[in-house]
Amino acid sequence: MRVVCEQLGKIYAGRKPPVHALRDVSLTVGDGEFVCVIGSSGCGKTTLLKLIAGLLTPTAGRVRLDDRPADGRPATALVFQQHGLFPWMTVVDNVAFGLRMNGVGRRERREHASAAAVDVGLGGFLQRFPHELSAGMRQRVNIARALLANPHVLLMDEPFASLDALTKLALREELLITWQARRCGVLYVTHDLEEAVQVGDRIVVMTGGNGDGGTVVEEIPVPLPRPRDLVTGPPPEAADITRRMWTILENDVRRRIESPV
Amino acid sequence: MFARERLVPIGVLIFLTIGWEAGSRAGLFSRLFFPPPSVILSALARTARDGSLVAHAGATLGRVLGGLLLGALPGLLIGLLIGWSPRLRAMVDPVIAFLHPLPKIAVLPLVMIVFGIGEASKIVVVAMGAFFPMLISVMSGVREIHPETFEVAEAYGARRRQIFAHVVVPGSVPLVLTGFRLSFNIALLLTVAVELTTAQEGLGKMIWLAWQTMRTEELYAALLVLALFGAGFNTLLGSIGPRLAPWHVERER
Repeated sequence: MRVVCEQLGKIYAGRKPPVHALRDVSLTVGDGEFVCVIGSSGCGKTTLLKLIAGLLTPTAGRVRLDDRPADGRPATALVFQQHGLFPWMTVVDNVAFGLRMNGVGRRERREHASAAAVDVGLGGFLQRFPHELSAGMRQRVNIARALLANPHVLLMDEPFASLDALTKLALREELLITWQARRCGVLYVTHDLEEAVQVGDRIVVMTGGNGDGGTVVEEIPVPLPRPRDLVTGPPPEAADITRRMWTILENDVRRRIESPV
Repeated sequence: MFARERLVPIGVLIFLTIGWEAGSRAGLFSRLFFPPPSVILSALARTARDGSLVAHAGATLGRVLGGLLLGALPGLLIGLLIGWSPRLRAMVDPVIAFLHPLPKIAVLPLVMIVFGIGEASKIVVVAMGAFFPMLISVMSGVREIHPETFEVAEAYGARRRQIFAHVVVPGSVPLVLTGFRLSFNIALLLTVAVELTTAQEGLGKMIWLAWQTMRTEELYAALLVLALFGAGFNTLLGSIGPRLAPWHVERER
């Protein structure tokens, strides 16, 4: 299955003045493809994910799901940034939330959720509350919940942004192993150049524009072999890609640093 | 260490009581104003035996609980709804801003014109007082839930009713408990105020009668029971809290 965005645009009309978040974004996530979206903060990356997840309705263009098999799997599932867990639910119940909403019975959903939680290394923490977990463990719960939905495309909104560098490395590695085992598509929003090169098959570079909405300015393929060694960092040939991304982003980033809040 | 933390305040309490007893008996201060604790306790026992204390305390407790039922419960439900819906909140906010600061005891005469001089008026006034603290706590309880939590629920297919049941209600539990505590305090205050003015029975009435007849030991006995009501309710909430919101209490520690 492929996710195809056609000239997506989003204006938040409810705010004063209306905020133009996204303009004319077209991109495709192919079957089993790992696509990174990179851009400075506020360029509409999160809006893009929410449009694809169906949490927001586009004000222009549309999201198409091509070649979708009738296998009952959801098209997408969203992994949230940081506050994505229900503080009042245990790990199992957090993971099982989607099943619960779909009317799956208590025993069955706990069984599936426990298995999914064990898969990401949460075995000893099933009955814990989120505040009792480390930040890394919380993101594992977040990912387990999305994986349990078994989506065709996993949408991830800077899932490891709040973690320290070492934890980030470990979870990134876990994610790649999971992805390779499942062969689902991934759309991965990040603002980390090195991370994008390390995990992506293709990198979509977005810039924020001047209040007229963020948009895609370039797509860069990452022809590095897999599996990749995340510990030693990207090979020398990846430097070109990183340099290319930075050339596009630099102006946007500097302008954002210097603009008032 | 733990035992010591508990023993010290108990020791202080015992020390103060003994000091009071001795000071009062030795005539250091007036026995009329400050009767010895032993005399207060025997007044407590006497009024308990002749049934008057039980009747007064029962009447007060009934009004407090009735007021909570008719005031705090609606406040809870409405608070959940207007905390959740910004549109509803915008509509109701000015009404709340206007009615909330109004001292509810001032409404008693008006309420008595409408509901008569019987029990109904008293409970209505107490309920009015109990309504607002709960409403406002619950409202801010819902608003304290992180906005992303609502999006997560939606992303995983929750409909409006499910969002209410699985996000709005559980997320506001800690402040519902706070609301109950505040509502109870106001309800107790208003009950006594109403009883001082109009009632035939109740701890407020008992205090008033004791004052009129200068039986200060009975006055103190009634105060003691009122204090026990307050402490008892707070202890009750304190033990229910961690059970209803284990995720919250532990975060406070």
